[in-house]
Amino acid sequence: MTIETPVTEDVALVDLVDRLIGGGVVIGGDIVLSLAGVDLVYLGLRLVLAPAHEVPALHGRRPRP
Amino acid sequence: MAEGHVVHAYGVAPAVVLDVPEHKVVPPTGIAGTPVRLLALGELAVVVGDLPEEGFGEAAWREHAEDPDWLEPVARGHHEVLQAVAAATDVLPLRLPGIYRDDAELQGLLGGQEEPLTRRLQFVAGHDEWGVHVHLVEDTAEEAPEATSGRDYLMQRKAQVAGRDAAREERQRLLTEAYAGLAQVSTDSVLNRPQDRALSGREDPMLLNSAHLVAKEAQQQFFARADEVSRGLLEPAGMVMEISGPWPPYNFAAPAADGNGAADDPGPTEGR
Repeated sequence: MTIETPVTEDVALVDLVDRLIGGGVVIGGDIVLSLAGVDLVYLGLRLVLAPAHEVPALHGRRPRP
Repeated sequence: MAEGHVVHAYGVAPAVVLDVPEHKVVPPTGIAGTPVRLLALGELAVVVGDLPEEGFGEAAWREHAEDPDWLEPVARGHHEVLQAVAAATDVLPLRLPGIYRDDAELQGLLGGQEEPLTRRLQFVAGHDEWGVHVHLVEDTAEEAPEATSGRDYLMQRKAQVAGRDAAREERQRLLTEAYAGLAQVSTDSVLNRPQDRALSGREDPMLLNSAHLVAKEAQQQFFARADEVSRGLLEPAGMVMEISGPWPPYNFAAPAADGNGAADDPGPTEGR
């Protein structure tokens, strides 16, 4: 078992998305209703964060060494 | 609020924070280095910031919400402000995206929820959220010896599949038990969907993704229990547990639906 105290810059984006878009109080308002929700955000992130060999078409979006 | 700006709402704190110097509650800057301030709302104080509409307004959200390069600094800024506020007082994080035309619009929308939010703040008071991930690092199902005939191969294949199913079922049982053990020492717990490999960036599959609302005074007990279930149940079956925290109570911020609360349940049923 490991315990990690997240220093903010170390927190994985997916963990933030999990909590910030998947959790929290929903107040309502125009923008909230207009976003299709967390799944679309995940889809976008999945395409960009996926290992290069899984999504070859998106190479251009990651910084090259 | 200046022209050409939108109001970004970070979270909700009890109104008592309005009586202490603002810099003791909110960090000086939030998303994109913009100032953070407190907005009074009855029993509550809303942590807000003013962001340039161009770049952070509705159009920006529509266009960029799925683009990590844009989303990441916004998410980190939002989280950093909430971490800082959580260190000073109780806070209910608000969900992203939370942008409003002006203070009045936000106050109008929040006004109707003042009472459930106040009760929810009392529910999470003195607690932290801890995240639990369990990954499968080693499949403990046994490998079959090399087959010498086609018939052997089919028999072994069948046994292998059965063995894998049994191992999966056993893991499920262990995970259920581990989660229940953690929930016992938590005030509230939620099970979230495990992150897939493309998102977590890990080779080993995630089997459990849960969050626990733990009273600050029960924290050692929670760690002890986590250690116990990790060693006793998970590790022997090839699973590892990772705990992250303390987080602001993201998973426990939304006021519970009627009849679905623990501490904030009014008690004996009434017209339900």
